[in-house]
This record gives sequence, structure tokens and C-alpha cells, in this order.
Amino acid sequence: MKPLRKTSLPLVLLASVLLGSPVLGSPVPASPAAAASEKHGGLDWLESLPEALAEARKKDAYILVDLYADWCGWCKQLEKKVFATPEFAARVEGFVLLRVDTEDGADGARLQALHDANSLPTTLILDAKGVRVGQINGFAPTAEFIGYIDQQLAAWKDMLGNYPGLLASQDTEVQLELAKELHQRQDGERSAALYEAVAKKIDPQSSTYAWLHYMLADSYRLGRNFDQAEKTIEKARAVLARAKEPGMLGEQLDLLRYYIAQDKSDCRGARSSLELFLEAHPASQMRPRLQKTLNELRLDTKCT
Amino acid sequence: MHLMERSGQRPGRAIVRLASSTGIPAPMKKIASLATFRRLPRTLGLFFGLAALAAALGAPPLAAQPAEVVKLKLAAGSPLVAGAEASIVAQVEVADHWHTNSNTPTLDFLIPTELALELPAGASGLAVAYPAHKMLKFPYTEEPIAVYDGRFEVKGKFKLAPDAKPGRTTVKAVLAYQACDDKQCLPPSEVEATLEVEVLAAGDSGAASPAAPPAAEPAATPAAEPAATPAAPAAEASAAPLWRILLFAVFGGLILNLMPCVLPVLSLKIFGLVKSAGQGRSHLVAGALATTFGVLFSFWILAAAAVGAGLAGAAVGWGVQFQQPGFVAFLAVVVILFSLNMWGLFEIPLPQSLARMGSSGPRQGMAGHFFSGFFATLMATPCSAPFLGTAIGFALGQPAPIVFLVFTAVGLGLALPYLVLAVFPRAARLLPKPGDWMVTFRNLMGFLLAAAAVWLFYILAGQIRAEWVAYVQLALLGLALAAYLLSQAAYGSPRRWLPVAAMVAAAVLTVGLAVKAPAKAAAGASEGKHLAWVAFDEQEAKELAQGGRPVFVDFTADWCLTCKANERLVIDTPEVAAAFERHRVVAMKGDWTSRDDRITDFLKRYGRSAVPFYVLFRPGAEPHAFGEVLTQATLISTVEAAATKTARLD
Repeated sequence: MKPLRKTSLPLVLLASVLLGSPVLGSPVPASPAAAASEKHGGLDWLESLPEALAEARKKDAYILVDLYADWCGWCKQLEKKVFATPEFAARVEGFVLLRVDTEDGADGARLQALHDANSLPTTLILDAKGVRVGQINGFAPTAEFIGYIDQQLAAWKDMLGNYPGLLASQDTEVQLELAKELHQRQDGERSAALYEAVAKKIDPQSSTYAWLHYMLADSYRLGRNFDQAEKTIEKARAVLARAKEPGMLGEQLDLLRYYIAQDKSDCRGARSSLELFLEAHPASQMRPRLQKTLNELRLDTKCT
Repeated sequence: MHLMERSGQRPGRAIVRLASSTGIPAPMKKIASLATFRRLPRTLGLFFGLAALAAALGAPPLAAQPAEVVKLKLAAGSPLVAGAEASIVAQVEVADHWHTNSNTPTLDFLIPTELALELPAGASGLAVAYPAHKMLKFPYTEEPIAVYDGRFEVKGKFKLAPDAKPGRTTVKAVLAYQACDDKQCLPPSEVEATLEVEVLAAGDSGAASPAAPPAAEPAATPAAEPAATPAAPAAEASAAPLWRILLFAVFGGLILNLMPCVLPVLSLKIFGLVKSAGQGRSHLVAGALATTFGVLFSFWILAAAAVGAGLAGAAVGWGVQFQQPGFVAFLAVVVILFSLNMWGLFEIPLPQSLARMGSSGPRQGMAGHFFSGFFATLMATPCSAPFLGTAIGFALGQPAPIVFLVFTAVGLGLALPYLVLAVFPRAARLLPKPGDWMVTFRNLMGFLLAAAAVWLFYILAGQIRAEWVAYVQLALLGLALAAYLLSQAAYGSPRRWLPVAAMVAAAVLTVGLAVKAPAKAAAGASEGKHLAWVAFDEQEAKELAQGGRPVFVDFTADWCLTCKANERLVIDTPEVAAAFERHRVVAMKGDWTSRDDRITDFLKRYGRSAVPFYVLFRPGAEPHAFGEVLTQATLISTVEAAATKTARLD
């Protein structure tokens, strides 16, 4: 599927919105294991994401996440052959270490979905805000693995160095590429700034403009700038109203409202946005799933 | 609170489920799942002008995950007959470099590969047989683990109740597996396949006794009328009842008597029998029966050879089934070779030692009659080999009892004149006299065999791509040419081995081509050499274009040579693939091989009534229809123009 491998602007976003759920500011309940940390190969591995994020903020450190599953042979090899070595321990000194099962129905599952870590093992490097700084897929021997950590961190720092110049540049194509990438990496603040820069340069009547604002709104959501996200949705909606074929964007914009409400831990807002969605899109294929979610919300006694 | 959190234990699968339950068009779903292996875009590094960075930004290089890591196909391992044992074979193909765990994994945390079968009503006692696993060791592990990889077969054996309802039904199989390659593992997954099968009534008629073996999938008859097989692509090919097959077999055997090298023997033999009739009627009957047994005995040897070959084939992992293009091509070789023989292009020599044995066996008494029957068959080999050889070929795919029944029937047919004679000695007068007409008859039978080849090509065309069928046919033509050259070489000439070698080479090439041929793709979506095609969908193309991705649509058909040429020379080329990749063009294929009204309508709107036809859906512009002559330069420049426009965002 070669030509499809490179992802397009709206599609990526669509995929990430549909598949993802925010890590940032997501109302993550403190799990029972929150305070637990596990000795694994001589290192202390945390088992809760909120705790790891808090720790990383405190220490201003990166988080290295080991995403694993019980049935995954290569995960066991990675833990035994790499994570247990003194070389690895030395390299990740100062890192917060997080080890989560992708089948835990909680942090592990969420991180896997958010970062599209379908194959295992996947090792993520996150910053203290949960932005994905690097990702290592699969097993590699220790020296190679450490090399990947170095490479990914160096590339990220390079990008950060280039970012201000790029934000000010006139090259929309590159801005858009980087915005998409940062958006996928959950870096809502930087991707929003780039989308804004691009939006200033394009025809407000074009359908691309509507898509762009949809992505901008989602970036604001990731950056927890909810007011701005709501305003941007309105703007996209206005453009869409003039478009001949609204396609799926209308549905996506309405769904985004629900995600925002979720991120705000606003269960009533989530409920009403779902109700609005179901009313506005009688033919949507997402209906059964959303209807189910709505029913659960309605039964939730904490949400009255 | 999120959708994801509610979706159960297996988030990996939940993603897929979620994606498929929403209104995302197929290509987008692809993106969603491919995003797994998405690495940082090269563009990042590219635009920062740091080549090293480009390499560095990617996650460690992993083998790309194929679209389907595990493929499953079903085949009937035997006919499904009420009251009899039957089997379904699951043919599994694991993508290169990947493996799944054994059914009995060596480590307890590994998830075994398991097959679940949904069988027709009345099936019971299902026993699933897994192949032997392979012990695989990886560079970074100490212990080898038990895995399956490449192609393997899982067989489900079961019994159908005697009152199982006859008729068409569907068998469904689900293979649960968990795959890894040499660095990573994928979440546990399942792959499904279904098979249309026909349950046959028990026994069917007097021809098969209650104790008769599971029968009734048509076996081939030597009368050069190959009957349908379980998986012939012609779904409507109905299963002939066993009695009819046997009738054909008897008839085929009877016809053998008319062959040039049989009829004279028959006449002599009958003459001898009639002469001995002077010793009494009972003596005549006993003599005829002994001759019959002699004939039958030789046919049982042939049947045993066919069954043995089939078993040996299965043992070394060659499935001798009509689903296998290699097997179909092999039969085509046999059939073509024998029709050429029937047309007199070359002779099948009987080994000298056998010929001598035939003339030196016991001459007297019942043993004499028995051996003369046995050797009559042997002596007839040069003429009957084409039919018997073909029959053996077809029998390779059949269960042993059927093979024996059919060969017995052929033998009975061949011996029928003796039996009739035993009852009506006067019938001897009715025997046709040997003469030149026999050669004509033999030539005509050659055409019957050639007709069988046509049928084989029809099956092949359902299995492999049209151009590969043509390659197979070309190789067969080479075979015929070699046979012709052989006919031109004088007997005893030292050069005769050359055309014989050429014939062997052509036969091997034919089968090899069929085995190597890529399987016929499902309509539309296919892997090109350089491009990955998705099936044409107008709505989807529009939406993709609207979302900023140009979509190139190739309207094509298997029977359209210009289309094929364009694909090979212009479209599916590294240059175009690179341009498509660069500008994120989606390649869609509108396959018009069979009637497709949506494509017909689309063509009509552009004033076309034929393929090839090429269209580029462009972001922010009307679709561009290409002219009659497609060149790489036009194609690439049009794509670039469309893409630049996208990049500038109007």
C-alpha cells in the first residue's frame, strides 16, 4: 500500500481523533497501582501514567515507556536482554521509567491507541507533557537500542531548534508537514501554532480551510485551550456551511465537541454533545457506538 | 470516558473494530492501521536539510508489515457425503519473515495457532490435525521456539450423519493466531475463510452399496470426459452421482477395445475362446471370467499406482488438488501430450522386456486365460496409455476407494466383450473387423482429450492471472513443438534425445509457471510491481481528493492488452511509483474484466465506452481525463501539477 503510507493532512487527523484519546489532561483516575513501582531488572519502573507524568514534571525529565503484552515473546526478550543491562541503566539515568501492559484496559491500552503502537514491543519516549519525542519499534540488541534512543532525542532537539524559524517561514508545505507530525505526537501547542500560520495564508473559502480549522481545533484541544478549540470549530462550521459536499467533516466537528467535553471532564457536556451528534447525523455509521456510550453516560449517577 | 476505554481487553483489536465501525472509507482505515509503522516523515529531515537527521528521525527500521500477515483459504479434502467421513483443509500462508506459534507452543505464555470450523448441519466428531511445527531460533534468543511459517495445512476431519441434508452449504473457518517476525509481535488476531461445498446424498443409487466408500465427487473417466472436481471454479459444476461416473468408466473401457492395438488382440483372443468352446459351455464361461480377472488385475495395479502417487504427493506436501494451479497445469501437460500421441505425433514404446513377457506367459488352462487377459491390457498400453494416463492423473486427487472403483469399471468395460461372449457365444460375429477406421477413431479420440485441456485452462483461468494462463499455454505449445520435432527425427537417430529432453523441459516449465504464477487478485485491489492498487470507488476518490490527496484511477480489464501494456510499461513503473509516492497519490483500479455497472456509468459520463481510460481526481479541481496515449511524462507532469496546487492550498 505504498502510496497510502504517507498520510494526508485530514486523514491523519481523522485517524488520530477517531482512534486516539488524549493523554494530556485526560481525566485519568488514579489507579490502584498508582503508587506502586516495580523492580524490573534492577531499575524502578512505574506502572501509572499520571504518576510518571507528575514525576517527569518534577524532575524535568523524559519518560521511557515500555509497552508490552503477556503473549509477546520479543517484549520478554527486550526486558531480559536490554532493559536489564547496566549499559541501558546508565543511558536512562534521569529518565522516568514506565512499564505498562497494553491489555490492562487503562494506561497501557490508552498509550497504545494514542501512539498507534500496534506491534509490540514498542518503546516510547515522552516528555513531561506526554508529547511523543521518540518511538522504538520492536526488539534491538542493547547497543543498537541505546543508539536509537540517542538518535531520536537528537532529532527531536534538532527539530526544536529549527521550530521558531520554521514557524516564521513562508513555506506552508513544510509547516503543514511538521504540524501534522507534531499533532500526531500529541504536541497540540506547537501544531496549533503551525496550523494558525498556515491558515493565515490560504483562501478562507476553500474546503481545505475548513479541514485545517478542524485540525487546529483538535490541536487546541490537545493543548487544553478549550475556548479557542470551540471558537475554531465554529469557524470551520461556517466555512463548511458554504461547501457543497460537507462529507464527513461535519460529523468529525461534532465528534470533536464530545472529545473536548471529555477532556474537560464535563460529563454533561459530553452527554449533550453526543445527543446533538445523534440528532444531526441520522445516517452516520458511528451511531451505534456513540449511542452505546451515550446510554452509559445517562446511567452514570455521578453525572446528573 | 473515552471510546477506547470501553472497548474491552484487547485494545489492539478494539482499534480495528472502532475504525471499521465508523464511517471511515477503506483507504483511511489502512492509514489508521499502517500508522503503526509510520515513522517520522522523511520530509522533516529533508526540509531541515540534514540528511543524517532523516535517517535518525525514524524509529528503528522494521520489516514493513504486510497487509495480510496470515492468509487463509479453504479446500475440500474429500467429497462431503452423507454418512461418510469427510475433511476440510485449511491452507494457511504466513507472510515472508513472519511466523505464528505452533498449536502446541513450547513456552506457556505463547498463544497457540488454532483452527475453528463451522461445519454443515449433521457433521460430528470433528478432529483437527495440525502440521508438525518447526523449531525456529533467532539471533538474540537462546531457545528455539515452535512455530509455523510459510505455507502449511490444517486438516479438519469429521463425519456426516447419514441423514445430513444434501445440497449446497457453506463451511466457515476461523484461524486464531498471534504472529511475530524477528523483532516484533502483533496482537492476537483472527482470519476467516469460507468455502461453498455440496453435501451429497449417501450411496445415491445401486452402483454404490451401503458399505461403499465415500464417493460421488466425480472421478475422471477414461472416456476423456473429465468431470467436475470439488473446487473447480465453475461453481455450478454439479457433482455427477457415482453410478454415472462408473457407467462412463465402463463405456470408456469398452471403447478401448476399438483401439488399433487392442482390437486385433481382442479378435484373436475371442477366436481362441470360441474355439475352446468345443470343450463345453462351462469351460468357455470359466475362460472368459479368467480373462476378465486378468484384465481387472492389471487395472488394480494401475489404481494402486495412482493412489500411491497421490499419497506420496501428499506426504511430500504437494497437495494434489484442483485448487493448485500446478496440479491443473500438470494435468494439462498429460492431456496435451496424450492427444498428440493419439494424433500419431509420437508413439509410446512398450519396453521390450514387457513385450517379451506378454508373449511368453503360460499358455494353457485358466492361468493361461488369466495371463492373456493381464497381458492383453499390457499389450494395449501403447494405445490405451493416453486414456489410462489421463485417468491416473485425474485420479491423483481422488480418495482411494473411488480410484479403485473407477479403474475396476474401466477394466470391466475392457473385458466386457469376453463376458458377453461367455453368455452369447454367437455375439462373436458382431465384433467389428480391424481396419484403417481404427486410426481415424484414435485420431478423433485425440480431440476429445484436447477438449479436456480446454476445460483445464478454464479452471486455471479462475486461479491465476490471465497473462500467466497465456504463459502456461505458450509452454504447452513448446511441448507440442518438441513432440513434433521428435516425430521428425528418425528412429534410432542419436539426436532423438534432444526433442525428448525439450519435451521434459517444456513440461517442467509449464508446471513451474503455473506454480509461480501470482494468484488471481480479487476485483480491483491488488499489489502491482511498484504500486499498491485499491479498488475504484468514486465517492472515496472524491473524498480523498477533497482531503488533498490526488487519486489516479486506471480503468482496465484482463482482456484488454493495451491496458496491460500501459500498466506494465507506463504506470506500474518505478518512476511513476516514485512520483505517486512523492505526491501522495492514491492508485485506484477500476477492474472492468467482468461487467461492472458503476464503471460503465462512470465511463459513459466521460463519453467513453471502452478501456483503457485514465482519470486523475485532483484536489480543488475537476477530475482530469487523460488522452488516448498515455506516456510517463504526461502522467508524472499532470500529477505534479495537481500536487503543486494542493501544496499551495489554492
